[in-house]
Amino acid sequence: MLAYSVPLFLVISVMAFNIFRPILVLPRLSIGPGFGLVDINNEKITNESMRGTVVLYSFTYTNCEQNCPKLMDKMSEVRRRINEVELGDVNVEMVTITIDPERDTPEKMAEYAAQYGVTPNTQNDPIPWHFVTGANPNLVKIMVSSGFDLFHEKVPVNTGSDEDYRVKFVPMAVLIDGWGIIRAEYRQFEGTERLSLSEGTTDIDPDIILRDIGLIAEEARNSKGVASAAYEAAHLFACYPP
Amino acid sequence: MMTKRTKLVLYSMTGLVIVMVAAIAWRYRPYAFHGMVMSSPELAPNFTLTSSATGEPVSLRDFRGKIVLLYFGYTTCPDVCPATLSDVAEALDLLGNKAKDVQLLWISVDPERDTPEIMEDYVKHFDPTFIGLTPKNAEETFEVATQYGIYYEKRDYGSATGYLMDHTATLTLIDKDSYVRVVYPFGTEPKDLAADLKYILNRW
Repeated sequence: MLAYSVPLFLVISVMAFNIFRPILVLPRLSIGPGFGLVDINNEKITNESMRGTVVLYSFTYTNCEQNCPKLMDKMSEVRRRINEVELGDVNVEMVTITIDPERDTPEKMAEYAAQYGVTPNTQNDPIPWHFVTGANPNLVKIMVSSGFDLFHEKVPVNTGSDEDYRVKFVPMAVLIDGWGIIRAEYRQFEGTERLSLSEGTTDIDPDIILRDIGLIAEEARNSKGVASAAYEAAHLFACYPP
Repeated sequence: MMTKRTKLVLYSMTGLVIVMVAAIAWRYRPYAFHGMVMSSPELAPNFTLTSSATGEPVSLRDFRGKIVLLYFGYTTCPDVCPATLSDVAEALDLLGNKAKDVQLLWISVDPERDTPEIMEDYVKHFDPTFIGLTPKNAEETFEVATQYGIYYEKRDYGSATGYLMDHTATLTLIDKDSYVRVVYPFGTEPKDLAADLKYILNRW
């Protein structure tokens, strides 16, 4: 009896793992971009300085009237509710990158950050939130469009001045793990426009972002020793959340 | 009623089956890679740069059918770059004749100083199959590097040989179909890299 029950048990447990998905993981989508930018304290923020930290990236620009406030409110909500997630010893930070680095100096970013309760004094409470820009606008543009795969372009506003423009883009947030790997992308689509890779939502949902931060933190905490094999199996069987 | 003899046979057969099942399970256990395994739904970012081997432009996609190991560095690099290149050369030696299906591409993050000729001299010193790639300008360098998570920066340490470059030292494994499969941290052992390469070459 024992002789038959062992292989049967193995087959059933593999099937059960596949069906019940006891462990959910976020896919390792692609390599997060390399960059070097500065925050409102003129401190350097690079993908290397963020290694070992789970980072929620978002994009905005200070002259933005249409898309950005909604996205920034959601980022603010995620930060406010971060204590709902069991983080353990996993560090989580937030980085907001300007897509208009020509006009957005660190000083302007500081004014903008203050609207969301982020000043040099409160920047790290409850989790650090960096508002960043770059000295070389060209490289920032390449980093955002090629590295983060976020298309954006300048659109002139009809005032006759070249200085007056807005930046057209689709609001996006990206979650990158401590290894610098993109684990989730949240894009906001207008109307019926959708990407096949989206989670079927047309709006960025703070609940889903918080759930995903929780999943990454759980994986980082638990995948040690034997349990790491179980987490790799979860990646192999594509046990992704719905 | 079972005799002592049949009981013994039964027990030993049961034991044998358990050992066989365990051996089979061990044989088909999930392979543990020595870096971060990716599940990219999209092809690795493509690029077209000048090859040190021919002086002609060459694309990542030209290497479909081979496993590509991608590394970013510069020729005047004092430590991490030569260490990584010699580790990869050692891993390829361990692979024997399977090494012909693996191509190391080395992209310069310092195109100001690294001409295709200098690159060629440098990489051939480690392995005759290595290819150095040079971008046309600073922007092209940045565009390729950022997509592979490489950050680099000039640093003037007051060294006699001029400036140094600080840069991310990961090694990226791109499979035969041009998908990023594994990202290795600096310091991955040649034998571990060789084991991973052997595994991928045998299955795909």
